[in-house]
Amino acid sequence: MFENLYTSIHLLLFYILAVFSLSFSIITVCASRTLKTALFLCATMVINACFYLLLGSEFLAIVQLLVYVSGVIVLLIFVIMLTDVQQSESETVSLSKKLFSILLTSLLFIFNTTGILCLISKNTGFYVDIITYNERQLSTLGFKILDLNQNGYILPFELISILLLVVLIGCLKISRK
Amino acid sequence: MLNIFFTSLTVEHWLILTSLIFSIGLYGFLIKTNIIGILISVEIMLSTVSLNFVVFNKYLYSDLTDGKIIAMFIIAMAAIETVVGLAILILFFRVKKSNKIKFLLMKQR
Repeated sequence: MFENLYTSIHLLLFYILAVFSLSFSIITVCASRTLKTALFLCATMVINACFYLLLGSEFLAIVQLLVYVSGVIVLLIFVIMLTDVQQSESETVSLSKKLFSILLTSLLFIFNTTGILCLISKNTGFYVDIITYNERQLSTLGFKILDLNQNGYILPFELISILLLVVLIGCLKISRK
Repeated sequence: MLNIFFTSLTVEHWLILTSLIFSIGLYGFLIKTNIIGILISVEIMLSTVSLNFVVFNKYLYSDLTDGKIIAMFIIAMAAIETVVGLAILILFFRVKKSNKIKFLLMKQR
């Protein structure tokens, strides 16, 4: 009995969060002022973190909050305040351009959805399992990242740390007066 | 056929949601006239892709953690490319005194 309640609450939460996420991202792309886009991007990222929680990866939710919300968004707001303080109304885009973009993106979405609905239901490899104990442990993530075997991810890990250093130094040099 | 959407949370739910948000981000990428709006739309698209990796990790290989690790790398890479884009934007603003993309192709006076 509790399994049925669990799945229905899961589904209800998914639909509520999906409605919020879609509305926030639509406001993000349709807003005229840049600060509005940045703030609604922040809201979209918070809802994305909630999606990670629904999927059972709590560590990624916290990483998303730390990196995106308190890293990228803060940086974006700094740069917006440096470059576009008076929030001048951006020039209106012509209706034909809007319609053309809507047509292209809806074509992409319809193509994706038909592919998803037709192909995936034929494949019975997708299933929802009880979240295993191994998956719940945060230490498996750490072991996998620092694994020295062929399946380990230590090389991208080290490369990203070097890349972060290079980007830091490079951006400092670029934006100096 | 539509009954599956109200019984339990399947992989099609997640994939349709992520493709919808990706299309919305792509629409924003095509429609914005200032560079920051374009960067923000790229952020939307990248976060959606990262969510897709975690979805496939949970529904196909729930005992492995490869999808989550790749999602972590995608989050880090998105932050890095935003930093680079914003540094270039600051330089661009210093030269052109505006952050609209129509000044991108104009010759300097």
